[in-house]
Amino acid sequence: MLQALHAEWQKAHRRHDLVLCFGFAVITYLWLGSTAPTGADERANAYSALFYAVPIINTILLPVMMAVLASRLWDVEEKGCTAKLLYTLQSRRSLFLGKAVFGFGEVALMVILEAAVIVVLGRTQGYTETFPAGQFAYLNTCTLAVSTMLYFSELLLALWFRNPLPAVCTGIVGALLGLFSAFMPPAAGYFVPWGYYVPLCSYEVKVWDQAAHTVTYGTRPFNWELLTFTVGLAVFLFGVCWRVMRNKEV
Amino acid sequence: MQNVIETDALCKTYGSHRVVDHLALTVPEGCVYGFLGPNGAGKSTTMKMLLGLVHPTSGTVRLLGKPMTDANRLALLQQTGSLIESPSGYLHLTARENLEIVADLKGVSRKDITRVLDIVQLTRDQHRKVGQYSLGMKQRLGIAMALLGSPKLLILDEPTNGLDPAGIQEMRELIRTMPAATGATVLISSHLLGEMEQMVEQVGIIDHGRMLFEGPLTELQRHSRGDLTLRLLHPAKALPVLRANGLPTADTGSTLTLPPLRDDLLAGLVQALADSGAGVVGLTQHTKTLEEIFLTLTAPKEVG
Repeated sequence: MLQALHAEWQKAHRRHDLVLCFGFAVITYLWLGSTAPTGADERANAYSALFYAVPIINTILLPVMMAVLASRLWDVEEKGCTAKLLYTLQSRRSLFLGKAVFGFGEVALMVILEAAVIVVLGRTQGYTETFPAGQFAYLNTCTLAVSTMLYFSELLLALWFRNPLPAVCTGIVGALLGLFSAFMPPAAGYFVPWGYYVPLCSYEVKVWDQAAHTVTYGTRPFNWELLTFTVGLAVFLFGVCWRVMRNKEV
Repeated sequence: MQNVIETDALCKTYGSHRVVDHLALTVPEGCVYGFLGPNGAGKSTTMKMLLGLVHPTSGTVRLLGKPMTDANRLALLQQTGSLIESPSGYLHLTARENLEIVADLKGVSRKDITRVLDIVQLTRDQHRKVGQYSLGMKQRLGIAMALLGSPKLLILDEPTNGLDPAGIQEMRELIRTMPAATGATVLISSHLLGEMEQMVEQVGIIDHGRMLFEGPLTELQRHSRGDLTLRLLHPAKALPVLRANGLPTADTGSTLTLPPLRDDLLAGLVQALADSGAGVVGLTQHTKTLEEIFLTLTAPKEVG
């Protein structure tokens, strides 16, 4: 297993995956930073506003990022015709686990970087609202679960089609659908996995004062049912990916 | 001499199409074995089954004296190098980086990389990205990957495909000398008999998934002898000699076409023609194409 993981690390050299992960963090930082709270009222409600905005940004960016990461991870094997060589050097299980763990590591790195962005913004922009540690942990857990589920769905497409394009196109269309579903009745969001970041969000708009242009955010109960379903879907897709790779003849 | 590869009643069926049909392949140790057959004959599928890349529908494979199973497949393949169809390589990495990945997965010291790069003459280009390589260089890199760890067996599927004439010549020389240089047994496939004749000692001919011939190259060459073209100064003087030897005669100008003959009979005939004053100017032995050999093998009608 460690050998397979090491091989994936070697293959990632010059593939610029790290640049993608850090690029995502920079975009998130710039995006969220540009809407910095200005008044004392906004600072007192700043973490709530941030935790409400992050899932929407994730819905736009992460389906595409997951598609890019997953398709690149398998595309190097397709372009290099390496599967038939690798299957003589390592077991299919080892190759698959190497890719799954390495990909999960990249997803986790993105989530960690995004979490770091939230902490840095809170510090640098002088938020006065008490840091909601429980909500923070829940947000990152949801982001990790949805992103991992999307990652395996995109890996599956890359394995099926032997071409990165269907995965990337699905990621782009999925991001648009996910964003669209955020503005539809809540039940609709359950049918769009790319947008699960939003129904899993534990913050909502409590008061929107149209005249004063102010928004007050409040919390809602954690959506454990959807989170459990998302984790289950991720495990299911992991299993399907393994089945496809195991049965793939080269 | 031990056999490095043995298959027994090996079959592969896709749907209702049988690609490999009860194949019995025997590759002796220390030789270069040419696996011949036209495109679609089942060569690549057989080689993939030898490497466990494709599961046989039925039959068995013995590799390096042991029956290959799911449990020991990787252990056996650690002593095997392979190049199947197009060469493998990560295009965004250099040749050395590619070889490092393969060496680490094979559990071979990275010091061996310098040796194999030298064998395939890629030392100067080892730090270039493989994406910038020509097809010939990629083929040589594929051979270098196969050679890592000095395997006992090399399985090479049409390694000269897509190479220019100079590259083909280099590859032939590399493969021909491999048993002496590295001690490896080589199984190499091709659809060109002429190409094989220059580097193999043993041959197997497969068509429609069935082995038509297996044995030494010299024996195959007996089957591959085609017609003879005889160019003469005075063909009329040759006709009585040909009739006396029971050979068909027809006045076709300055050239005569004769059926394949054994070497001793041919030497005697040429001597007789020279003595008759026919003036032998040239004698050309034609080599049959693979397709013609298949016909000979399935319905042998050799003269002499």
